[in-house]
Amino acid sequence: MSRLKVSRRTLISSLAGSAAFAGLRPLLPWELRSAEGATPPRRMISFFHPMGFWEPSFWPTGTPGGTWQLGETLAGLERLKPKLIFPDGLLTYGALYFQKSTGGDNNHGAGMTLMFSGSAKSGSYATGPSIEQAVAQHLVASNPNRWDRARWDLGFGTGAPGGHSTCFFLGSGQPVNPQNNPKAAFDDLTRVIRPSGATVDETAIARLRAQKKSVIDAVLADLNSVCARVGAAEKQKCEAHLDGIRMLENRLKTLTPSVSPGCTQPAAPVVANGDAVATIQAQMDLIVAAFACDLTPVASMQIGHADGGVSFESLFGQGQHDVTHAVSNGGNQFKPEIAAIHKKIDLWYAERIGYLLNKLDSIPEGQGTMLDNTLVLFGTDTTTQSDRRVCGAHSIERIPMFMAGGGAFAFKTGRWLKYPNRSPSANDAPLTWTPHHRLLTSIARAFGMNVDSFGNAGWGSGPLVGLEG
Amino acid sequence: MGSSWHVRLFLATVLLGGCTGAIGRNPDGDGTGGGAGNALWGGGRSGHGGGPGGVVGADCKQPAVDVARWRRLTAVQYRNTISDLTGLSVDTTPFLQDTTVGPFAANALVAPQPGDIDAYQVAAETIASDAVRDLTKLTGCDAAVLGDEACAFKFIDAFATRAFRGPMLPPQREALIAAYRVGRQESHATGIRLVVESVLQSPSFLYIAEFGEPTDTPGLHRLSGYEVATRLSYLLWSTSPDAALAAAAADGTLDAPDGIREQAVRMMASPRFRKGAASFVAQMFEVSRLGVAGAVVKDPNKSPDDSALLRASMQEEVSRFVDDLFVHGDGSLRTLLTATHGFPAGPLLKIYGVAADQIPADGRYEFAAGTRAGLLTQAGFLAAVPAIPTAYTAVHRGKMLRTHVMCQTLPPPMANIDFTPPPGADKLSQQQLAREHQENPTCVSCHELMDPLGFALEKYDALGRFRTTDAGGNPIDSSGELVGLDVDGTFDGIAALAGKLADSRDVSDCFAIQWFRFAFGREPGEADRCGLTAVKEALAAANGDLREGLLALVASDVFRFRKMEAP
Repeated sequence: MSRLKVSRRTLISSLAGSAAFAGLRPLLPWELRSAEGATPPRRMISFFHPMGFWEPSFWPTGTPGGTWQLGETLAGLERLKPKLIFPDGLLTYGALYFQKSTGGDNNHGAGMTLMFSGSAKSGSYATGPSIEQAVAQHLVASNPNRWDRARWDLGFGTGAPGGHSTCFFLGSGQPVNPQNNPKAAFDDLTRVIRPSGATVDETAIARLRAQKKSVIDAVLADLNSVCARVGAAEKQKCEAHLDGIRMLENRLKTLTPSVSPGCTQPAAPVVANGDAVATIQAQMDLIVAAFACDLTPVASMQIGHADGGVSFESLFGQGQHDVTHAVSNGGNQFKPEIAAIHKKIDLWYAERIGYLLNKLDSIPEGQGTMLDNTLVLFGTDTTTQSDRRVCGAHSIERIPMFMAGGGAFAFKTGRWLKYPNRSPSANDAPLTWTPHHRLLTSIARAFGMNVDSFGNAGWGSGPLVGLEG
Repeated sequence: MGSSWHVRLFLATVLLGGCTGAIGRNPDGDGTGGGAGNALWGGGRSGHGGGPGGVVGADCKQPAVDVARWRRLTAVQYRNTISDLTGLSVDTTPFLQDTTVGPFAANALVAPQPGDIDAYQVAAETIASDAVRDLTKLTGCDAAVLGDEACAFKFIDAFATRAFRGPMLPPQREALIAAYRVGRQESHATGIRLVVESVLQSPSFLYIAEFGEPTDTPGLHRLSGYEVATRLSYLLWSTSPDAALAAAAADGTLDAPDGIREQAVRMMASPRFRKGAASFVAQMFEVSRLGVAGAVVKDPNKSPDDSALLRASMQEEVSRFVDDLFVHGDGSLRTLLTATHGFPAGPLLKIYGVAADQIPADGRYEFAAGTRAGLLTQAGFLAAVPAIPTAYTAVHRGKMLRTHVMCQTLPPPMANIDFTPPPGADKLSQQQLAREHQENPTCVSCHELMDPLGFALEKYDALGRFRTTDAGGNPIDSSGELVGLDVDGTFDGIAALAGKLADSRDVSDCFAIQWFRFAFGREPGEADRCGLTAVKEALAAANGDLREGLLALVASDVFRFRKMEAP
């Protein structure tokens, strides 16, 4: 990794002088971004992992709002404790509604769809955007030329988009399809890097820009011809395609300088197929690199899907899904030996989470670190309760959503907040719980969106009180 | 025909009713959302108020078809098409992630992601700079003789027409000429390169976009000859139309069912058809997933022989098997499901326990009696399903047969079920593992549909090796009872079960449905029933000859018409 402190002028020279570049690489090199300058943006990461955590080990202990300690699962994040927030007592209410009203899906699929979108589910997909996509759209709308990309969606083992495998949505019925291949993500991110060190030619740069522009113009002409007469459904594709082309076009403009000295060229990931740890770390490195160079303000990271995705069989002898069910043996018998495996799986995810958060926190930015300028939201489809009435597995009550970072602009961090979550009877009115929609609403507001609710307002409107401190 | 459809649908409803009442399409879906949408679009809406009595094509005399979505080229289609256009091979694995309809790559519903657009740009730039290395070959003219612009215009007309699979509109042509002229300021070659870059990033190239021309029925368009040619070539060849197809499109041959049939017959005689058919079979039976990074996971301790090379040879065997089915075989689903030969080669020899010198020169090997029966016993299928290490192999394989080969829908497992294998599961037979499924009334209504089918395949391990005792040392009992189909009854072993499947009209109908999904990248809807019924009938009448089913499909109204979606 080499820190890039290349002036615009040297950049341009290396650009023009490289024969290899001439045919291949678009403009907008990392090197365009000088090491200091702009204010850090408000950033967001949504992070998904499947099937939650073993409840007794996950939640903090002590006194909410008073003296408290991290739970066993996240104990490794002790250093970052002042930057975490645990809203305790949320219910993925929409998922409950969906399951009870239609019987059309189990908690996995419903929780998956609704966790980040808070919206209804139609067919396999949410009927509205997930929070980070909405935030991305909002940020880009208010600053259209700043970023190379509105958001960057990476994953591991997510499977193809579907009712049990998609948790992030661009909009109604529009699943995000996360890039699972870190090599492709790396190429995507670093295609703007080329051999450096040749001689200067402003004219050549201008010519190159004109050439790129002519290609984009031709593509737009075709897009217009094709999309002029389409119906609503194809229009969506056309618009998504157009957005992509516009982003390419943005690259031809000079962009703002980078915001942090962490704008470095990442090493190419060398990852064996199926190596979960290495793949996930490579993806996280790339997200941080993209932030450091201000290529995007928003990212999503999806590990697995509602029914699995990471092969824990080879690590701990049992799959995650089997373990989450077995731990309470259908609700009537606690099995400590299975709980031990559950905890191992949880710790495995906690290590991944720790890697990302520590990496974000290692990059100085503004008055603090990149983590302070980045709100990381952790969500999951379902979770494992220790004392549920039917069975511990796949509950959507006391869902372990938590947050890290964002202290520079969002919420007062370093807190464990209790919300009403009384243990319901079979016929309990779900509204006695605290719907997770409120947290999504609070996040939208933290990014300057003027909204009273996020997702389906009927399932919980208004913000989550107390986050601001 | 209409009544037989209803009878069949009714039967299916009754049979699956016990399996928690989820009938028809999978509510969990495949990413298309097509199921729910099509159900809503059934019947009266198709006529946009103009149809007689609102019941569309009840007698199959009026053309009727459900809404088809545009498809972005799948990875396979993109690769093949680039190869047609430029002679270059391109590795799409790093950037194209297909979405599916049923088991088939379709890219029909999911909008392109920003990363996709970027990736298309990089691919186009890479391909273009490679392609212009031999400019004369690419453009087919010598600029020194013809003049730069004349040569460029000739190239633009030929290349873009082919890449767009039909004639350009004036603004498209003008934009390409403009790009050429910008590049031309540097050199002729740069101009051509920019044209290639532009074309390969254009939606007209990347999407199978269809408009058609209005008909007398409001909301119903007849596809143009070029659009029909495109459907034909991606269905039968998995690539773009050749010159003969384009000519047939231009001269009106493809405006009539007979002309389409005639072209389809020609195309099915071509070696390219075997590629298309192999792609269909490999996807329908999940074998193609072996080539997708991370899609099939093996426990390295239990399957130490697993390797990329082995997986490639498994896929290769399926390709050769399908190829042989259409060159030397009868092209029937019976042969596909029951053949006792295969094409073991390379690392597969070890899996099949065959020595290299036993393989005949043509590669076609007759397996020992009673050890193999058709595609379901080929290593490629057995290794692909189950796709994860699990104790419950029979459940996974049985479920796959239900959904993919019988086109039946099973709901996802209910919440709050303990999936943990019982203590000592390693030592238990599949029947012992399945006891709970079979005894618990909540489980049995679905599991009686799945588990016994999987028992029939238990004599093959996770990589497809034949065995007579399972991993726990138990002698394998591969008998069971088939229910919920038109050929119900007991069986002992996969050969018997495969024979039943080959006899089944339901299975034959399922192949028709799968071809439909493969051809159009969507689920069939109510308005498609006449077309789909014609395919089912043709397939059955031809004793399962898949080629006859395809001919019925391409000549049907569903293939030739397009319903316009709401504006």
